[in-house]
Amino acid sequence: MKAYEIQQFGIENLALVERDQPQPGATEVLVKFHAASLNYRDLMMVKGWYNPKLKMPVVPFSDGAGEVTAVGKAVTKWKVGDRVTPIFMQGWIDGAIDIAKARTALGGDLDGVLREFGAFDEQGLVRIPDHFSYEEAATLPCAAVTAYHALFESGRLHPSDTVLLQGTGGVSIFALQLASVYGSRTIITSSSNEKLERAKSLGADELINYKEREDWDKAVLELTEKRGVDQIVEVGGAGTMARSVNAVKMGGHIAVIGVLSQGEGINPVKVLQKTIRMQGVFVGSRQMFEQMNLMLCQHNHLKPVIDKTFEFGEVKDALKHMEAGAHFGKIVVKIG
Amino acid sequence: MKVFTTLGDGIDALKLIETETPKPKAGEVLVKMTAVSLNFRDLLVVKGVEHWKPATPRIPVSDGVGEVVAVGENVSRVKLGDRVAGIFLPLWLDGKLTPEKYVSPLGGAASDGVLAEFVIFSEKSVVKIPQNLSDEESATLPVAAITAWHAVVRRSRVQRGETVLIQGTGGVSLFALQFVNALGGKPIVTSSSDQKLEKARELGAHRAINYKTFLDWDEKVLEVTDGKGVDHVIEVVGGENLNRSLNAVKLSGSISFIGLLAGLSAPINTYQFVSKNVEIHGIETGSREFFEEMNDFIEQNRITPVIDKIFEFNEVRDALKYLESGSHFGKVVVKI
Repeated sequence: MKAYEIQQFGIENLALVERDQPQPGATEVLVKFHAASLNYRDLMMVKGWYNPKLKMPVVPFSDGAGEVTAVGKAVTKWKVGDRVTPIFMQGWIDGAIDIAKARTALGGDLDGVLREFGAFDEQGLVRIPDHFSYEEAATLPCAAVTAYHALFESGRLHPSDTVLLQGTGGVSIFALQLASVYGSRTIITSSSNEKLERAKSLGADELINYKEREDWDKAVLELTEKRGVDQIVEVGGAGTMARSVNAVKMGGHIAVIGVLSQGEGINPVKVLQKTIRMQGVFVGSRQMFEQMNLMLCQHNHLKPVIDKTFEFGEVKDALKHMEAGAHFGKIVVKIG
Repeated sequence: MKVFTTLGDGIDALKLIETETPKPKAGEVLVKMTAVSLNFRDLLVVKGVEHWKPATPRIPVSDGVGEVVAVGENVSRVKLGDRVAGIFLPLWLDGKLTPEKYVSPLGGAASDGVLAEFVIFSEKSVVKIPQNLSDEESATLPVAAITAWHAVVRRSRVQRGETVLIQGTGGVSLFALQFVNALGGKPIVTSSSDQKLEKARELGAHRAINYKTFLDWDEKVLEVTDGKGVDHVIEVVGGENLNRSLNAVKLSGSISFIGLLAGLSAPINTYQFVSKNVEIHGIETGSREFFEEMNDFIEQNRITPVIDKIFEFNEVRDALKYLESGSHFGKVVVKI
């Protein structure tokens, strides 16, 4: 079978190789992949920024979708023909994360999905919602599960809440869609009016261009009667955290996802006085994924936003497209 | 009656003056104060640090107890002879903190405190003190104990068997130590003094780490928790210390963030924060509801606050200087 490997860092060094097709063990299923989607983590992984000590060779990309083509003899959950996607951390089934679970991420600790076939433990998969294509389903494991974890598990979102979403990356767009169908009021920021208009068509109630309003935290307060928002999905990292602390209401919640920017840190006086709750959110468990899929099935008009789909042979172009940062929505690669 | 007033111009400038004893209006009670306890914040007010400096003469000190000696009309929550403590935020009775509740903290720049022979409170803004405690012991509760309760019970929700890193041996930290112990948790205490650590052991510290001996105390914490890290941290220092706490906490652990000692900016290591799914809670004292449930807990578990030293009313300047010296272990109390 064909597979991509990181043998040395750099997009141009990604190697298309021939590997033996894996055989499922007793509790494993064999998945024939049809699509993968890209996350920023994948780009960092390929370039060697995410983990300079990455064990190589390793198959990149964590998010994929495909069909079951063979099952081990002890497998009870799946049958041939089932449409599935592997979970990001193969060992994180439910409950809180621990060190052992955290060391089972695909496309890093373990071989990822950029290959024609993969064998996975039967516990490490979820069923794809029927109304999703393989391309659409491939966008879910990281970005959508992270958004769900942030808003509903960590944030305990209420329909009467107002949520602030930063930028129009994968997590923010899923969070926008999930919060909108839930009935919450959404405010989204971007540096591009064109992207803001697209966000509006996906349900955003309020738009802030942070190039025009560098004090976007004040803009948020103006939109919320000076009280601030109930929740923020913080994807900017240290560089935006200080403004997020200003923009959240007293007793509010900030789900911290981004590790991108450097910054001077937060003002702890405000964190204390506003009794803010902040939680680091790193994807989520299989249970969260399954709960999210239930929600997606209840709101079946909600579809992942796909920016562009590349062929299997165009993976390097797909990575460069992500690197350019002009996309709106997920970047998908077809497999097989 | 006699009261002390401050203009934020220093400990020695505290004035003892004679003023008319007030009469309670409808809904109010008159409390004859018997004891107050000192907090670091009282020093900030008396010394006039930044926004803590009063513009007009103010009665300082937030924490005090006494006996109800007169009640206004329509008072039903308390009666003559009740031993009560004032709550720090007189309008935060229950629920989450909001801007409307976060006003007029006792003994601040804009509202009088309790360093007086008699104090008028709204009947809503007092709680009955625990039956097993003396007035001096009860006077230590309103800020330090409630803050510890908010952190340990309400936010971190410490469970039996869980490890809790408690930094230092200040008022909040010692109450946290006692509460964690009573809940069946395992407190790990840090201090720069072996003598204070020995006292912390006597109070039930499971482990004691001298952070002068172990400059990398976070690594020491990992070592004594089998490399996993602690379930919870009571972070009273802030600044760079927060990143050591992030290193010392386990995946999915929590940090109750209370401290400002290390300054007004906390540069968060967002990578550790996000990838470990850590929850950070900003803690600001607590509501009357917290106070009442804490008092029940104190009675049931026979908890006795640690008092370092008791001063007489006319020795209040010595008491403040003693607090300032930082050599105390436990609360500094002034009898009235």
